[in-house]
Amino acid sequence: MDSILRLGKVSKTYSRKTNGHEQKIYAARRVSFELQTQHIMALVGESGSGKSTIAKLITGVEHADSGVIEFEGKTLSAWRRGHLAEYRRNVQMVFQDPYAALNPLNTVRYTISRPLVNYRKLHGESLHNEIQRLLEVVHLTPVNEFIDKLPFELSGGQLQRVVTARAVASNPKLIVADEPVSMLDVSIRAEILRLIEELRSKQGVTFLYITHDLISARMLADEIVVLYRGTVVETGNARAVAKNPLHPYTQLLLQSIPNPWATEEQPMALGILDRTSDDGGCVFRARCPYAMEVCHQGVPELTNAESDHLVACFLHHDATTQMAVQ
Amino acid sequence: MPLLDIQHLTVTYGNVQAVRDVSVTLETGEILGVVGESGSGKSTLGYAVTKLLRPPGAIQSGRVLFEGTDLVSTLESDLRKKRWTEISVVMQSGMNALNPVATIRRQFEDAIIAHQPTGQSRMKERVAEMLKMVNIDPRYADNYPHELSGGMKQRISIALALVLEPKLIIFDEPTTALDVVVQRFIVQNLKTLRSQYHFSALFISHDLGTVLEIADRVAVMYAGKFVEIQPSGQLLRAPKHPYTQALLQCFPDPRSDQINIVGIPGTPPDLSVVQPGCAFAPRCSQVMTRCLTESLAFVEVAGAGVACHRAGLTEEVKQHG
Repeated sequence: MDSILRLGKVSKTYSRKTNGHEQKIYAARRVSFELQTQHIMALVGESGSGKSTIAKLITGVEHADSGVIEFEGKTLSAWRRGHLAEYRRNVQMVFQDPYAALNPLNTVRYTISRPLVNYRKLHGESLHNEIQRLLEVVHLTPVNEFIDKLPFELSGGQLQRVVTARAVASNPKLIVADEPVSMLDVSIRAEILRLIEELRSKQGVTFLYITHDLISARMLADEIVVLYRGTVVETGNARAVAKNPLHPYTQLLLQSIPNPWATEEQPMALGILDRTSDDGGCVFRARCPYAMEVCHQGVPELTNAESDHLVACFLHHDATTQMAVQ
Repeated sequence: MPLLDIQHLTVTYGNVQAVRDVSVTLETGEILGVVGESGSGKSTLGYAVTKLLRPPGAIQSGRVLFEGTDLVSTLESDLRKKRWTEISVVMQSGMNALNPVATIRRQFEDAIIAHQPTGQSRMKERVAEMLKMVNIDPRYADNYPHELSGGMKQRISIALALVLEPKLIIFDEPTTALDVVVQRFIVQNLKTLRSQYHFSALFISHDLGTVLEIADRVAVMYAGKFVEIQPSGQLLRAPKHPYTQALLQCFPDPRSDQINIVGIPGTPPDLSVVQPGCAFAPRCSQVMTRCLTESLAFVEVAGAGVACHRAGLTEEVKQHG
């Protein structure tokens, strides 16, 4: 298989002061995953899980403290040395809030023209034709109805299409989409998800789809990576992870989705919702209903539980061989 | 007599009719879910019932009978006595509804002192009691809102709404800004609280899944009107309105084998223009010619109803076939 993006033990720590004490926040802890060309990978986690930090690290907005990020076999630091513009052209981003991602004073035409002018040096008729084509690609048709509109004249779903057209404009190989549908109405979400799927199959774009929603991840993605407080707890084939999760955290996520179809109330072990200290041990142990002695002593490594399905949990390990004491 | 009886309520923002001739009743102890997408008028309905609309929002016509008294014509000074003691509100983001410069305890005490003053020690007990009720350690009473997580703040605003044991609580998207695990926790918490306090509630949300879990009956709103009301179980099993049917498909069963979120093509109508026919017709997959010209009044009969030409037809077909 052909991998386009690889993260190897990427870590990022932020620190903040609370009552005069320096407190470390582990936004990414030795995060590793590999994204195959033309695949859609979903990065799933709650707020504070570090999923947006990973988006920032991949797009080069933030620098990792340690670890390696490789795009097309070349490390990000190598890309940074003189090839940053090319990297940015290849790695684009779609943001959560389309209302905030577009300049309210710029027309659709101008917004989409920027990457075409900057990255592809288009002008005149070829520029105009390409803007037209891109609007057709994102289904903002008839094009003439949309091309000279300002953001306030468009609905949320239409704005997200403009944002997507702008992201596709530079002919990127990878698009990092950070919660692209969570601000939209449920009836509109499916269309944007379908658009992502279409861009993958027709334009050959690879996607990292960042979301808190396990259901849309399962529908859209080939693989899922589940993050909990900066740590990858489970990863693998999307269907396997989202339908038969192995990690207690992923199980909790799945159980938490409102499910009026459930015939009976599923009792849930919620554990403590507050944060705990990070002094070794499994990140989830304070909330885990199955926490064992070993979970307090060491950090479980991601291990193959089934083919195409890895989990970092001592329940699924031969604990003695897999434990990595910090 | 129902606890709340909304009759032909129309609310406007300038020339935009956000709520259009809505009628519904709420029985004592009942939770009525109101579901709709952005711009459907669901929040406006909640604000109109409590008369907390901000200008230019105004009730143009209709009545809101609360225990037989019309709130629309009630004087502001009399309404103030009812607020919090008889009707209270939980806003979308508890983080913004709490006073940032007052401790949690102060916010409870303010409400108690303003409406039902009691002694210091009783008040202290009450605050502790209320916090425990929403699963928050009473030691947090002396913290400020910014020191707490979003989920905790939202649970505190629920406890605040309950502190004077009102008969009716309006929940406006109480779980929307929260993570799914915290959402689940709050929904479970609300179910327990309701069995203890027997309050009635309007539970307004865009999340049909959550509403179906918590509400006894669900009203589906589209373009300012109710298009369907049914008991939750029935709405889930046999939705009658094409909009409800389409909306349900946006919330697939997470455990099912095939997951396909279908969505609803098109966009909601512009509410500043009053168009003939059914507002959903341009997006409806089962549209007929008469849908474009004839509008249908929504009629609630025995707690249920649907406003769709198609639904009437299928009923007839069933009866005759």
